[in-house]
Amino acid sequence: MLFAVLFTIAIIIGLLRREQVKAVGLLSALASLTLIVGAFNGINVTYSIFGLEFTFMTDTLSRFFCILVGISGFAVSIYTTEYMEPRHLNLAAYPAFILSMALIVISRDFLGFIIFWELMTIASYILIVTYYDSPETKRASLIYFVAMHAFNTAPLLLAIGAIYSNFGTLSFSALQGAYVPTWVIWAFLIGFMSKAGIFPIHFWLPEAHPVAPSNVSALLSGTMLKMAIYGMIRVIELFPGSEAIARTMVVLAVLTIAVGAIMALVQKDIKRLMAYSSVDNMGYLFLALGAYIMLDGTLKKIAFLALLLHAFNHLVFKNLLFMLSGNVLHATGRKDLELRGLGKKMPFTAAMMVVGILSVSAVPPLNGFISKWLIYQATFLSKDPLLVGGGVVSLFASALTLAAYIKIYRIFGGEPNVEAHEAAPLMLAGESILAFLCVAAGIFPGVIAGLLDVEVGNPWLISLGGATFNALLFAGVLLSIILAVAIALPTKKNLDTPWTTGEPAEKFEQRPEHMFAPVSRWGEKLGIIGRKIEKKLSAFERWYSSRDMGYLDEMVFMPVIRLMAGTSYVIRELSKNLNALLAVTFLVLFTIILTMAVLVGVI
Amino acid sequence: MIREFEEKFGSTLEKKVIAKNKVLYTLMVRREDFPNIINYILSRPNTRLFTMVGMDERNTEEAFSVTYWFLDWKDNEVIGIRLYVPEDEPYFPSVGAFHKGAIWFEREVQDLLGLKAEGLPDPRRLVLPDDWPEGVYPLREDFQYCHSPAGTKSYPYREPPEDSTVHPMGPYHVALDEPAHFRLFVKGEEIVDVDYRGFYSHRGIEKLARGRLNYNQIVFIAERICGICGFAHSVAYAQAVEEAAGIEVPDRARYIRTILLEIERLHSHLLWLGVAAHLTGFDTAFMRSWEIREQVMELAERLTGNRKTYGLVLVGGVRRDLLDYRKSLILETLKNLKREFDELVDMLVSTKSFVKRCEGIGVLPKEKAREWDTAGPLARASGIDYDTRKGLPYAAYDELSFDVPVYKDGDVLARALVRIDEVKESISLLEQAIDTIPGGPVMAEFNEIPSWKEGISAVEAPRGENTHYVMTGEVNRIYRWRVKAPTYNNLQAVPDMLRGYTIADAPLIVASIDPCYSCTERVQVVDVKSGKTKVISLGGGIGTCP
Amino acid sequence: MEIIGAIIAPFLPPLLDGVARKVKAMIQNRVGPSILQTWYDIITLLSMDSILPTSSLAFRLAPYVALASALCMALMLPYGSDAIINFGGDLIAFIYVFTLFSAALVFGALSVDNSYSHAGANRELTLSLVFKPLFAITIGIFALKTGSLSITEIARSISLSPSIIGAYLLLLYVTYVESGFIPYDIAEAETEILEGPLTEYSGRLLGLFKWALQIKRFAMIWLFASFVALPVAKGAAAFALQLLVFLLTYLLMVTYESLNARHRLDQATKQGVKGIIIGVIIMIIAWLGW
Repeated sequence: MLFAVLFTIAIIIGLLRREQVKAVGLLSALASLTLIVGAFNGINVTYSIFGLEFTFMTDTLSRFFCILVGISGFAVSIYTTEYMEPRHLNLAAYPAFILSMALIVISRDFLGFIIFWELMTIASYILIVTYYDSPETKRASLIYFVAMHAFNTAPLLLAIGAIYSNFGTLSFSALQGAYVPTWVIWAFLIGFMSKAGIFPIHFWLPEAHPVAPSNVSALLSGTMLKMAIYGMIRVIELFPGSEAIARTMVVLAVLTIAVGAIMALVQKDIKRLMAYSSVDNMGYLFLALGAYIMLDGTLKKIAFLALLLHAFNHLVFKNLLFMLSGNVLHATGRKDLELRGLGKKMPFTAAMMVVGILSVSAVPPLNGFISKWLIYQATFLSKDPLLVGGGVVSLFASALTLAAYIKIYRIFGGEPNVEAHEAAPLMLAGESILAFLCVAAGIFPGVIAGLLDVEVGNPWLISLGGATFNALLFAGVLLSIILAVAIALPTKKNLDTPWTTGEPAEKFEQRPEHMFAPVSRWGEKLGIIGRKIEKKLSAFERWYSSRDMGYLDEMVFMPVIRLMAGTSYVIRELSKNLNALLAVTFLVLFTIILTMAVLVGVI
Repeated sequence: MIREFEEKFGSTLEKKVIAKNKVLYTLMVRREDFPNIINYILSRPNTRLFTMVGMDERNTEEAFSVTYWFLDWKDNEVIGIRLYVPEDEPYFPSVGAFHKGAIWFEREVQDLLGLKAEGLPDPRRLVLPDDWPEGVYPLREDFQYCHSPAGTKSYPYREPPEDSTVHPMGPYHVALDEPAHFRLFVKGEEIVDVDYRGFYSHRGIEKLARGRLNYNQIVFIAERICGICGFAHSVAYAQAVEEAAGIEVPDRARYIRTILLEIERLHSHLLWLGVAAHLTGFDTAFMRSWEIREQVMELAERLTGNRKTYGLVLVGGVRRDLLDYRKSLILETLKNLKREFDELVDMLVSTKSFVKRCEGIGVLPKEKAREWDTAGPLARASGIDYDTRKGLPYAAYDELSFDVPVYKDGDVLARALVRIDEVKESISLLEQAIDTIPGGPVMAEFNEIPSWKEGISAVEAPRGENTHYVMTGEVNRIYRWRVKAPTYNNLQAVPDMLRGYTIADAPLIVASIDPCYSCTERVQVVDVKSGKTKVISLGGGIGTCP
Repeated sequence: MEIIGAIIAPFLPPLLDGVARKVKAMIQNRVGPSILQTWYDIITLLSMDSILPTSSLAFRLAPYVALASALCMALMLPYGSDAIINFGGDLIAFIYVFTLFSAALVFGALSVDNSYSHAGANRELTLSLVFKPLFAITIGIFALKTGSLSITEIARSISLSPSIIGAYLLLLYVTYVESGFIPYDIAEAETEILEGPLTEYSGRLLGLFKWALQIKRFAMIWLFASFVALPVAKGAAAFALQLLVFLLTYLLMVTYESLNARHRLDQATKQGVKGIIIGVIIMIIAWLGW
């Protein structure tokens, strides 16, 4: 548990010295490395605090996710040393965030799980409100906070509470194979789905991820969402009877894929686009998970491999993409799609962006292709129409993703319209690690599969039950053809200006928002529908609050209303001072946990 | 029309009769009446702005003159309103302020003569090149025709509207036969607005003709104004001079002129069909249509000696006679043509992908077509029933019977159908003309052409009405020659036709007016890079160049 | 067998394009260019230097990547019974290598500031957004019926049924569209938008792109020919049958092309959506067992 110690030191430094970005970043990076090493060695410790027993142990699944957290923690922390702007508590929250995620995946009981889960939510919330003076941040953070607690923590708490009341224990080993009521599994599903941003609880994601600083967005999109997947896998592994939720999961996942991809297409802000793309990718993960539950035999193995491999790949390229958007934001102060000509001053960023875009669009020989290919194998060969339909929608969404990210690529072409400079070397270093992984995992996917103890033949192949893809061979052939042709027919540098058919033309381009007009219209329609639903909901609320209460109702409800009004007044007053608000939140949370502990009978 | 006009305004105007139905009124006093007069004429149901002529009459009248000519095509009458503009106050009230069709005329007069129209909506340069300096006006009498002063290159293009980008079509574009600049303002694929800049092929023909060439030399220059419809220009010019001089053209010559005009119409429409098919990617129809056209070109060569520039018109008649044995050649060619053309039309109309590209595209509503004074198949496809052959009959057309196809939809398909029907009518006209061609001389006998006489005449070219105005001068030379081609009006309507359609439709819509840029434009060729000028000298003339 | 395939894949397509031009000329009563004309054009282009409108690396790299991916597409397909380079003989991989090709074209086009290239890139992506799902549905029908995504496996276990016939028709339609014949050559090579994404390319780079486009067309039609030939023959006979079906299909498509005008983008997308609906119906029929 050396990594925990290192992270705690980082947290303390962050609390005491609020300016030491480099120290905190480097310590976090070091800690992440230790996490990876520790995961490989295996962890098995138990601690007793206040009479509560916390067990931390790695099995294959935990080890894999530890490595995931470690890789992203390492790369992003190196990036953070040059990027992060220290503000109130965020320097302390950053290592706390990564630490909590690491502890979630190695906890061996639900108590530790939920405590560190909530810690993760709080830490991420603190990080999201870094720029608390801007109105969008205020709005986004409120949505995030309320949505998370209403749809994520509450169902989880209910489910865990029910488990405890049924079985009297929260440890995984004791609960293995226990029969829980179906509603508990549904509660888990709702909880984890909301955390992952599955339709219909996806609306908080595009609000929260863009307003956070880019390194935090990377961790949020790349790593935190995977915790939901981890939790869901754990639940399915522990409790039988998950077939009930499989179909619903697949249907919702397919909807998420479609909605995420289409909405990504019509965005004008780079980070919002990437956030919707995360929604879309979470859809793929849940589709694979649903397939895993529904299928048997070789296809089940393929689905499992697809799920975890895609978790890895998405983590790697999403972190990369968000960090690159941070480069752009840092250099130009803007994150909209109107930028042009950044390729001249930021060549490395441009090159890695191309790698990222090709990965997210699942183009071979990069890593995104391998996991998507496995998902298609699992869905198309399943002979189940729902899954095949899911496969078709995935392919459609894949094409949409390419189209959406091409819009981002455009900021690098053409004549520059802002001042820009290349990012600091440490920032580039963090990104290049991930870019390298994108390529490496694309050419040697067997290595990643090996981490999961799945036999796929050679490290450069994926071969499962008849379906083979020889990644190295493909990459090799592609590269050799390119080199052969490039050497036989090279290109000299004869520069000239673009051809405007004879008369000078300004604004000689197609604007990104007018591209793909026939398809973008569907996206705009979806956005309009979403806004209409929002209006109807708030209309309902307005109608309700405008009703006059009858005398009897007043007697019953007024005290409660007054209590709520009083509480909201207090909170409003406190929110004027952010630190106080955070303190109160901590207090409330602590009270909840304490109450729960009391109810559970531990204390 | 003339009678009613006379009743209303005749008292304040000075009248001059040009020909049987053509009257010129000059406004000497009460210039503020000018807009009312113009409005009155334009508000009548079947009138159009025929042409507008600016003249430098400082030698004879001590001022410039600006004359607006109007045609009433149901009464077959032409009326002209002239305004004198003094040199020290070169302003006149703009008709373009309320009638869009006059805008280009006034811009041209501003460029070439320096007379400014007050209230003109778009006062940018039209004709002169970008680097022509201010204050130098080529059509003025005191301007040396070979003088080409230097300036700085710039052109004030309009800004694209909010949120749209510029998609320039031309001057060098695969879809355009000749240089023209359509500045499309687009949102993605959809066209939001258009700014047109033309006159890249302006050659200064009117200045060339002034005082350097005699009447018959100009006939041949007129033929070279256009690469497809040149014969119509030479006939219109000859008719204008004949009207000014009071020459009566013999019957046989009129019939020969009619025959050749119709042959020209055939080859032009077949060319257009091929180009329209090519622009939509339907190359098979393109090749077939031009294959059919070859027969027409060969026929023209057998009749006149040339495939396209027939060179057959002289003032007073035609140069050569049509030999009798040629008649059977013409009839046989027409029989073949009819058959093959029907097959081609069947193929085009039954190819759904082609029809879908043409239907509902580039719609020009009837009121807009009247506003811009469009002519030819463009106007007839929008429901305006005007054909110069019936509206102001010339050559032998009042003795032949034919129909004028009119369609109401105003889209590209309607224009194609108008032209297809016109081909069929042309074939029938040719058969009638061959049948009834009278004997007799082909050239009129006349003495010298009197000076200071005006004549105005129009011809239905394949693209619309071709109007020539002539003021004869001294020593057997022209004083003023004004050419107005149909594309001059039709091009102004193109921005209205392009709005709301996509980039893919733009070449097709532009091609559907059958633009003939060479007809439209007439400045000097200046080589911007080297600063050298090219001068066209046509053997012997007044004045030399340094 | 594989050696023959490895030779014809890069070198046959321009010859075929020459044949296509000759056929079109014959339909139009012309003499037309010689069969080797496309080869002459490409060789001339390859011998000229390119002029670059931008210093972007993506612009220079795109043609090479496009050529390499088109060649990989062609080499992935079976010639006889086995592919030349066996990555797995998998249809999904084929679609994605095709996506790599489109991506290269689009990246190259978008790295220049030219409204015509952008219009072309836009059209290319919009078309692939509409027709890739159709391709996926077609493959889905085959997978539903035969339980495999590899061409050779599908050929082995295919059996005739209404939905399979429907799938074949859909495959023919998708092949026609993705090969870029008129009426669907909306994105590349065009008089309306001055050749779209290729407009700023010249010389060597243009030659590479044109070659790559020919090879892509070859690969798509060879895919269709494999689907038709492999279920009925094996080994060398299969190769001969593939070649025959390929040439027949190619000539039929060229003939159909010369009798049609080009679609507009919105007309083509509407057709694509109609195709998707038909595909879904056929898929439901397949699931119901027919």
